Amino acid sequence: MKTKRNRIPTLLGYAINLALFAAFLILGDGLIQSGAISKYYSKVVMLIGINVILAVSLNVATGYLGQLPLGHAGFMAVGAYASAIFMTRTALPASPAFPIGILIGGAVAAAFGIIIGIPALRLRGDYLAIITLGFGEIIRVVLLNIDDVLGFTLTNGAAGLQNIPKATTFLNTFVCVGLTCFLIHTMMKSRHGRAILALRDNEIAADSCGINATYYKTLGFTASAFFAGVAGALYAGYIGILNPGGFGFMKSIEILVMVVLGGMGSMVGSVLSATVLTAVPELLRAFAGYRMIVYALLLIVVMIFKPSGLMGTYDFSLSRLLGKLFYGSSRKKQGKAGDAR
Amino acid sequence: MSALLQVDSIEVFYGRIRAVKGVSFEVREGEIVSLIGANGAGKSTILKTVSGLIRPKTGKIEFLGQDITKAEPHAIVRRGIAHVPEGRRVFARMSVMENIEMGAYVHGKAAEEELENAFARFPRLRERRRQLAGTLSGGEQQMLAMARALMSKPALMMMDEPSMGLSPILVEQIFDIISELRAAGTTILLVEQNANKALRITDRTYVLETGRVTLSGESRTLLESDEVKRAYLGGKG
Repeated sequence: MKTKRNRIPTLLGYAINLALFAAFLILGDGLIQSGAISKYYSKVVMLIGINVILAVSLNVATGYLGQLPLGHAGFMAVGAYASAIFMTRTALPASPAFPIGILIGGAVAAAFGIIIGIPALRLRGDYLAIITLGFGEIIRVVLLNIDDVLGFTLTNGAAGLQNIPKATTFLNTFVCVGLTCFLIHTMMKSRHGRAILALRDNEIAADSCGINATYYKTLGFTASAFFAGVAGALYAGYIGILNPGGFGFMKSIEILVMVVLGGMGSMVGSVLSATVLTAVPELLRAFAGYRMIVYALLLIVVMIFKPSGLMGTYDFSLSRLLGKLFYGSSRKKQGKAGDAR
Repeated sequence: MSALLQVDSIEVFYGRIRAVKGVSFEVREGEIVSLIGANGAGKSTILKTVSGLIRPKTGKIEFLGQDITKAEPHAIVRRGIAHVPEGRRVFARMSVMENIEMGAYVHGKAAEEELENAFARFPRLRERRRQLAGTLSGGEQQMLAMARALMSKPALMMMDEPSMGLSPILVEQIFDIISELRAAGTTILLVEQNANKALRITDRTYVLETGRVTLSGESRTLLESDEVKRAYLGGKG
């Protein structure tokens, strides 16, 4: 019983996606360089990119792993500070230093992900939510208080870490967005991703299939923290000044709202809703005080009419679409990823 | 014949409650053994303890001559014990096909012929292989859970109340399949409340009462025993 392929070859699919993404980068960069997109709007676009990474990374823990962590801003803060401390001290020029800074941000956040994940993931549901909430707040308070460690100025406390090189650009933000989506996508399509989805569906059944629950939960959680750290590093280079106050509980909730609105378990959903929820408050600035009402109403309306989120668990795949165009869709859709819904 | 699984006076606690009070039993290769008893006798707890989901406080569990008392659940599956948990635990948001493939997780990718075997044994599942597992009926989900467990090619298959909540016809079917598996050489440890059925298809049986083995022996003999008849089979004895 050989499964007939009605998809285009994987490599070709990757090539097409890569080409389209490159075209998007060149076009976007060109428009910004030429001044067709104003400086203000280019800033909004970069913020969208950062929020997309945050939402997509949180979606790994919420949507795929099925947990409800409320400390995502904490990982973002760790990544932001780690990268900013590196960037303000390094003697390297910005262009080689920033990618290193981003990786440092991701790596330090991932390390915190492991440290927090191992005890936190022993719990489930509301309990995990509360324990991660606690950890997120601890990170914030610690950052506030380690301004001066053994004579070293570290975070500069409440005054904020200043003069961080503003190295974040449209290009490096969206390269990171692309890499984040690609890496998470490939991880979830792999055997490891399948194990993570199995854990979400039924932990006891996953155990009885021989899946190491602790390992895969920690893996998913750590991957989620890593990309939050990357987003944090980008944010540090975007804003130029860091203050622990910006990484509180509300920031975690804001990211969670993006994921839930987009549909838990749908990467496209996370991307879309992060975009919309970042853009809408900006575009509604003309309405001043009313904009938060519109934002809140948007959430309420979506939750009433589409409680599973905008996209449910559906994930758009260009390769799948092209495959259907070229090979026809005589066969019923395969129940992959979430398109069976 | 050497014992495949040797459980030696295990005691299991839930908090301060002693659920299993020093139970010993063995399963030999090629055998089909059942643990029967009323609710709360500790049957499911024993299975969970063998598969590593719960730790015994005292006692020892040996499988293929090796101590597995402290092994992690996923390591125990790798050693060849498959557990079909109580209550048809399928991956509801995955298709039937994906569920079956997950069963072969410990072996990497599922071999084409293994899949074919599974579908040959459970034709219903072939018809429904693209359907989400959560949309299957209770009996189909039980079959899926069994098919999935078999994909790991276990040396010992443990089934926890496969007949629970199924209609009499389906119960019949499930027990037929268990008999077929046994004929094909799979060693099975079966936990059942349906004592009558269990005694008819198994070689040996251990009767449990509030965490202790109160009777054990050849299933055929137990079926005739007055004590068992009175307690479980509704006979007047």
